[in-house]
Amino acid sequence: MRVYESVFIVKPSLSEEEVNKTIELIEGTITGKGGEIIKVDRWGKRPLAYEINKQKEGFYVLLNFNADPPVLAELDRRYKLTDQILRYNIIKLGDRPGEFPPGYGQYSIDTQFVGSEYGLHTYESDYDKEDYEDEMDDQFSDEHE
Amino acid sequence: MIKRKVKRFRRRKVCRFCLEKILYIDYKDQRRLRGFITERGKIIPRRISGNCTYHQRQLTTAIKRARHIALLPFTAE
Repeated sequence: MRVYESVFIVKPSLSEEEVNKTIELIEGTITGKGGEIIKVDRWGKRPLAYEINKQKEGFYVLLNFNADPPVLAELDRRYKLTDQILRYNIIKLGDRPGEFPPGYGQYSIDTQFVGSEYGLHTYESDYDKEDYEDEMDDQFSDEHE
Repeated sequence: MIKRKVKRFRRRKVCRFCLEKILYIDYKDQRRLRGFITERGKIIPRRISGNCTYHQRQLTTAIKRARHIALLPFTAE
């Protein structure tokens, strides 16, 4: 039994009931094959960084679970078949049940989208922004030594 | 080989993640990840961000995963 993590995005236009039904469907796929759900975290609606299927928002759900590897194939199949799910990912976190990577969960997960501009990279005061901006936003043409 | 016209001053930057002793860079941490992409959405190279190899590599996979989940853009004008 390995510990996995999966984040998926449900169509936001669904009613709350339908969303819950979808989540339960996924959970059922896992537990039905002998998996064990550790955590379900509903992030709720969030703006997407880019349009998916013409949608600009999505309902995010995070899932942590223990399962055997064969379950994943079924989970993947289920994700693909479910029309209400726009995107999904499945990630392995560890080889033993409940074994999270060291340092996992240290971050607070920001579920509120902060600001609508991207690229708020702030340059350190030592670096002049203009100095490096042409280096970066053109091709990285140098460094072929 | 490109000849540099001006010798650039480059301070020995320290890896921000090493300073904070962070072991796992989470792709879900959009707020922190956002500081490492440019305005166009490109990933900032290590020689500019100052990260160590270990963290830069983790950061890169984290950003790519976040892009897949639409937490970060692939490209943004």
